[in-house]
Amino acid sequence: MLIDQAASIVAPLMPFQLGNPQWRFGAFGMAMGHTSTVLFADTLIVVAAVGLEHRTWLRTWGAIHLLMAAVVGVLTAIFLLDGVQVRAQVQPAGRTPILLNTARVGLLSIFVMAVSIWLMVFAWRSTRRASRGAGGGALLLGTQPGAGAS
Amino acid sequence: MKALLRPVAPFLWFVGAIAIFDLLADSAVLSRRLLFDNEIWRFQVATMMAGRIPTMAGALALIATGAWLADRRGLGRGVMVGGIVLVGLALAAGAVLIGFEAPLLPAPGESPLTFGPTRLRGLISCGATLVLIPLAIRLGRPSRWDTTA
Repeated sequence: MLIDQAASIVAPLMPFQLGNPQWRFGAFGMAMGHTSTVLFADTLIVVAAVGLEHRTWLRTWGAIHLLMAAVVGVLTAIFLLDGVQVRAQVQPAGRTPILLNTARVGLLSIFVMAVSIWLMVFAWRSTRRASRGAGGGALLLGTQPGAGAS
Repeated sequence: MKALLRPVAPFLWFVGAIAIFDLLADSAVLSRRLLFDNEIWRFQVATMMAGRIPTMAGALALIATGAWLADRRGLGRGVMVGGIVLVGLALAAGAVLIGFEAPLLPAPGESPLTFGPTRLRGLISCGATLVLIPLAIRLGRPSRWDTTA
């Protein structure tokens, strides 16, 4: 699913025009339109990692989410600035849709960053507690006696 | 396994909520102007509504799964019955009434390569809701949420 979504995002954006604000604005807006499907795939990976008590993968996935949150944060800032620029260039009738789309994508980006940071903290805490435990192998997710609050 | 996965429940709720927000916000932006006299607009809105059914059902199923993991009986049953049944019915009925009320065959002058198959696909999505709703009602029964194994 993730590979398919990545291809679906990249293919229509070719050739890249990183110096063009309109292209950047449209590209990020279009990419964020794939959020739901990507998050569904993300959920499947997290559930599998927790269910299989795969500490290394969960920690790696948490680190990837931290990186993703940072990248989305930077791209959102650029997107908002591009939005102001693009909105000023279009006819007055087209300004409201651009404003609404900017607000939608901006809010969505904030939610994605929040869920990414939550997952990173969750992955880090659960694997850190496990490494301190006597067994060291299983995840301590607050469900076992003495694991502490989750 | 349920106890092991229980801490993931907030993640499922979060992802489900983001997906629902994404769908609602996208739909609101697309249909911000109500042009019921315009057949093309009605058709586009109906196509959009029908296309939202699978994702909306998936998002609600994620929230219900999180509720099951966390033993939140009220949330789980509410999402199953209130969410999937009402939202599914509203989307399917809305799509059919707003834009898919016309015959399946494209009208004269209408491109058969776009309108016909798109309408058929939308109607299939609406029809699938008829299968989804009895299942959601069954899963929303109190007896399904009594055990906390």
